[in-house]
This record gives sequence, structure tokens and C-alpha cells, in this order.
Amino acid sequence: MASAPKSAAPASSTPVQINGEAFSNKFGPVQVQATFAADGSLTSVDAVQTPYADGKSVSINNFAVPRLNSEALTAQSSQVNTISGATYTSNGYRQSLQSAIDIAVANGITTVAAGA
Amino acid sequence: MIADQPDVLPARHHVEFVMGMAVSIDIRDVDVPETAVDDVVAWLHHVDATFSTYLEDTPISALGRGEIDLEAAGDEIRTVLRQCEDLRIESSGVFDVFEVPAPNGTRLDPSGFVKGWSIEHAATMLEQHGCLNFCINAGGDIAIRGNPAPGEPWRIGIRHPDRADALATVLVASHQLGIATSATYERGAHIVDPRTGRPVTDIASASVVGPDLTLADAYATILFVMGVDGLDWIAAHDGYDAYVITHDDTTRWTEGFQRYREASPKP
Repeated sequence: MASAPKSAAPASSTPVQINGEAFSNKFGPVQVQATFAADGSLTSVDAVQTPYADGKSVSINNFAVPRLNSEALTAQSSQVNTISGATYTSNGYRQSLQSAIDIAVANGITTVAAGA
Repeated sequence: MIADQPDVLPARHHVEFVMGMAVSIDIRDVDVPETAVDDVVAWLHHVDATFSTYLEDTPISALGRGEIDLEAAGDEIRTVLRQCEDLRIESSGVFDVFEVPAPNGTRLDPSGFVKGWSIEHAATMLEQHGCLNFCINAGGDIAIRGNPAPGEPWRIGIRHPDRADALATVLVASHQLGIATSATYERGAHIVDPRTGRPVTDIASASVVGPDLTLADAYATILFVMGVDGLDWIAAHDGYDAYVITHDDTTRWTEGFQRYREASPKP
């Protein structure tokens, strides 16, 4: 449902900011802005408009919670705000749980359930 | 929970790509000064321009090549290297930024210290702007303050070492805390034991929590090199605790780590 910012950065000698299309999720209006450096690399992503969200959470069902030893994480205990892990590169970030959380937070969702 | 506590909005959220990683800044206060995030972003780029060992034209690269001396390197570099030297002595040489193969071809690379140090400083900058409730996540190393919402603790997942989309455990914490994880799954066997010069692969993941992310980050590196035996070394530091995952998927932690577990009774 999210309209992602355009992925292709325009050729330019100065940093460029592109606003994604504003859209509404169930919490209200959302708009994301991406900033590209002069060389076309993505330098930052911001939510320029976010709805109010009172501790609402969303499930990202593709992310499975492991059953590690006796630590069977319940769905409730897998609600997270952020992820600690080995230092990832900028590219690694794009595939990380943290990036999924950032997208959720930018969309006004304050707690993310990793796992069903 | 508390009647006169204001609602906390997801007031400012920003992801900055800097220092070769993504830094997520998540501020939950209602009133966030316009300049707060801008100042932190400028600071992070300043740190990169000063301490990057991937760039040839940084003061740290010039110092590593011997083109400038410590005097010319400036206060920030001197302060950082002094703390690195303290950690080297305290860890009996396990933590050593002065004798490592750096990307710029020198043997000086404090990057493993600078990341935690710069994020801890960024957290202090946000506090000076009046921010009370926020989380900064720099490539998996985290500084938190306050709460994500009134009466709620921050919930911090620790990534499973073998699966990028899975969690090994979840910590629960409020107020000031640094959380750092050291492992090789993202960048290969990049942690070298300075005493042997060989990459360390004894354990799969080492996480350290404590009040100051600067130390938590350095301690996580030290623990990763020391292996499971390093848990006692961490526990000897007041306020710091650790959680280790071994390659056979068993977990070990310091006694004090229990306070961050979901099941532990509230104080």
C-alpha cells in the first residue's frame, strides 16, 4: 500500500529530494521523502508526514521468530522497537529487520511484531 | 499510566546513511526541536570525515601514515585514542586499535571504538536539545533513552546469528541503555585477535548492555574475542551485562542480564 519514493535518482550536481506520493494507511496520511546525493546514491529516508499512532503495532508475517533452545518467544514477546546485531553495511541494511522497522515507524507504527 | 504525562508521538524519524552504514534516529517526544536531528546528522558526517579509515584524506588516515603527529591530529582524535589505550590495557591487549590492518593500509583503526562513542555522543546531543525518549540504532548498535510510549519499555530484539529475519531474544529496557552486538555474519570474519593476528570465530554472537554505548560497543568486541570465558570479565564491570550465542545455538548470559528478560519481575 505504501507508495515508495522513485528508485531512480535524477542526474544532478546537487543533492536531490524526492517526495513519495502521499497516501493514507489505517492510521492516517503518510508521505516519505528520499534524499539522493549528487552521485545518485541514497543518503537518507524520512517520513515528512506521519499519522498519529498510539502504540499501534503491525505484524510483518514474513519474519519468523526462532525457537532457540527453551526460549520459545511468544508472539507478544517478539514485539520490538529496534534490532541489535552485527554491524551491517548500507546494503545489508536494506535487507535487515531494522529497515522493516524503520519503514513501519515512518508509517506511524510504533511497535513491530517480528513473527506471527 | 500517569495521568499528566503527555501523549508521546512518533515525532521525528530519520535514517541517515553515513559511516558506511544506516543510522536510524527514532525520537518519540512530542516537541522535537527542528535542529535536533540536523545537528546529530552533521555530527555523524563530521565523525566520518575525521575518523574514516576508508577515506585517504581524513586526519586519522594521515595520522596512521605518520604524516601528522598526535598534536596536529586534534583533541577529538587524542581523546578517542586515549580511551582506546585505556581499553587496550584493561583488556590485556584483546582490544587494540593500534595494531590492526586498516582499510587505508595503515595499522591504526579506531573504527570499532568510534561507532559506539559517536552514537553515545549523538544521544547526549539529543538530550541537550531536550529530547527525553528516543532510540538511535547505528548499524545494530543502539542507544536508548526514556520510553517509546508512556509506561512502555523499549523492546530490543537481538538478531539470530544464522538468520537475518529472526530474533534470538528480546530485551526490555527503559531509560538510558546502550546495546551492542559483535558477530561476523554481516561482514565475514572481520574480528581479529590482536594477540594472535588471526580472525576469531569461537562464538556466533556477543551482545553487551550497559549505561554507556561507548563501553558496551568496545566490551562486545572484547567479549567476542574472549569467548564464553569473557562473560566473567564483563560481569566484573558494574552495570554491564552480556548475552552470548555459540555456534551450536546454545546461549549463555551474565547473571545481571536477567533483568532485561521479559519474564523477570518488575522492580
